[in-house]
Amino acid sequence: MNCAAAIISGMGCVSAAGRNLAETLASFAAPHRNAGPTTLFETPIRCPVFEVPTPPANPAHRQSRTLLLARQAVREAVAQARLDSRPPSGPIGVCLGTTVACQLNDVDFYAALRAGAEPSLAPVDRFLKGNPAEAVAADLGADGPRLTVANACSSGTDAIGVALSWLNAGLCAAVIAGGADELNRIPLDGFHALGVMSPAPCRPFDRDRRGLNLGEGAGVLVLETPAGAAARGMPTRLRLCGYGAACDAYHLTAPRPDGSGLEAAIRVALAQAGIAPAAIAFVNAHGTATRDNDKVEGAVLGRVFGAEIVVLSTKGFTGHTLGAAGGLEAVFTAAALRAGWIPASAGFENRDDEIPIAPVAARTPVHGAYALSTSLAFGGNNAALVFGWEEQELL
Amino acid sequence: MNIHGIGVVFARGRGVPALERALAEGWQPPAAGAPRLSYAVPPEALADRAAAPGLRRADRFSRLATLAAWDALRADGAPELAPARVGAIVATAFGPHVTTFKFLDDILSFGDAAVSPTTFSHSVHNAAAAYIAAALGLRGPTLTVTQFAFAFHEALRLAAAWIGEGRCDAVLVGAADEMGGVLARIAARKLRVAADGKIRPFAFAPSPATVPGEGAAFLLLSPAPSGAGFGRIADVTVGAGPRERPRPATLRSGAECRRAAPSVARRPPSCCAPSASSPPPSPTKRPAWRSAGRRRPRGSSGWFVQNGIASRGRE
Repeated sequence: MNCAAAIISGMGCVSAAGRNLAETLASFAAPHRNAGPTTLFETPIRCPVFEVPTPPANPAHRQSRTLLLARQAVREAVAQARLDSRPPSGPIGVCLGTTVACQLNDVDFYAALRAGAEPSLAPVDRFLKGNPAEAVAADLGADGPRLTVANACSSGTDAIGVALSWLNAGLCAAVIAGGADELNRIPLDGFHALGVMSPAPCRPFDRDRRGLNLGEGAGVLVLETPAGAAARGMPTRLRLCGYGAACDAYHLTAPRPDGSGLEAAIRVALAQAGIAPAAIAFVNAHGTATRDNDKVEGAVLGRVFGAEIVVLSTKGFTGHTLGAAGGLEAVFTAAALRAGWIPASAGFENRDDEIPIAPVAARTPVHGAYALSTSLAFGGNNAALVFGWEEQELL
Repeated sequence: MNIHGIGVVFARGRGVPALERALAEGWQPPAAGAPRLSYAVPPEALADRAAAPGLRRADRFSRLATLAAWDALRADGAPELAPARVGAIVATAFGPHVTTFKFLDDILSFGDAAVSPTTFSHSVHNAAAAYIAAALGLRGPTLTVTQFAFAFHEALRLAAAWIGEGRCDAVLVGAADEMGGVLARIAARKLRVAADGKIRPFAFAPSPATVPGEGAAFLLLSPAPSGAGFGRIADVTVGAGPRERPRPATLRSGAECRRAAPSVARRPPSCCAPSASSPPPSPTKRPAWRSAGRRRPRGSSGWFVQNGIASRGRE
């Protein structure tokens, strides 16, 4: 593939690690883990979760919590990219990933229907008006393509990949891309039923890991063409250089044991970026802390990059935020590449002899021009993004 | 993009012959026994011994989508394709909502800590795409997109972009949605459903009546020459609704990707394109508003979608 990189001109995030990027980096540096019991709804499931502690007010619950989180991250990213004061010369696209916001899963509404009542259709209206891409595009008056990606846990990563394809196809001049998801009763019950939730704070890649913790949040990038960013006078050193995706075609929930799908996705992303594996300074791994994910992912990373590759998982700070994970981790990866350091892989203590790589156990300086972020998902989806920090601005 | 295969599952059956037969026979009311008044896919259209091993546990939504995708990929004349070079994009508005409500039934009946993991894994929107990839052995990018307006058309444009940037040699693009009891009850309250089951297009007064339905349709798209006789998609234009700002977007204008995608060419906005053997039109006929960075004049083309799904070239 011979398409150009996209410039990252804005980033926004909200999660249990912080209400914006500055707070998040402070949590990473501390390091501070904000895991606790579920407070958003009643549940008998006693596993730690990563809730956003103080989301913005939502008067009369007229929008979903997912959309609330998405809008908060979008505002931060759009402000940083100065899209209002210096609008791009062409259409703006919106591509956001989610898992919760695309389902009509209001339990109270359904319970009333099931009981033969005719409940208020307000939850239906909230759902119909809550499609993340459609809602954010309407907020901003964005006039380019729009898509909500529902690719389970790789949704955010795939949404950013779609944005890169749109830019390279000339469909728009800039894209707001990422993912958002709220902590919700349905996936909490579902992941609990699958037996992959940890009763303690998660420990990605650790020998004694016992599963994942769910979280919530949103992570959003503003991406634009190099020429467009330069014309607007935006910094151009931070870039999205490649995206790869491949399917396992194996199982609905389990990763293919040989990891060939993830490896293919990584190699496609590297090829689009035009770099060799040795050019990658660090990998922000999917690292959910489930037995299967970490074993397969660790094997693939060792195979592609070697056992000494610098790796972390940020899910020890955010929990697994499902459709938001790819967006959040894209923001974290790009921000770390620019800052020149990555945090400790929270929760990791003991190396697993079955996994050829080990994440960093302390804050670590990183040197290099490229970094990788990976995502694996239900349905056998695998996705990877390559980020670049170039030495010079575009002229 | 040339159309190499078409798969369709709808209220009158499965496959292109069923579609052609339905068109020839004309309108028939929805079958009795469907959830409320809706065009439901008959059970026999979802029974398939060849595809059944891969669909043993699939719910209705995944089955609808997978059978349509199966037919599109295995159509007569479809090219031999490397599995890693074939992408799949599934567009849906509501996803597998019947399974979602079944999962809610689990919660309400048995409690949060005693639900079915199988039901949960089938309730995610991309379960159908996973079944498609597994049943057909596809190893390329697989994406599920969801929204209430133009999801399929945006999927078509993304497929063109994937092919244009060399990500795929071919892409299965389709749309699927199912009908269920809950959605039927919501539709009955939110929509003016035609009592006789007949949709009357463009009958706007007093307000347009509709009838819910379900089905799936897939196209196998590739720039390679096609002998299937299904024609090609010349252009996809997604417009703006009357209350929205216009949403102009060209199918492609990035120089690098334009060079890489010779099969996607601008055509006049007619619905039907000739077969793949016709020479592509000159790109110099591109309207001025389609140039990169230019916006289409407000209201210049309304809000209809010209999706260019072709008539069969041999006819």
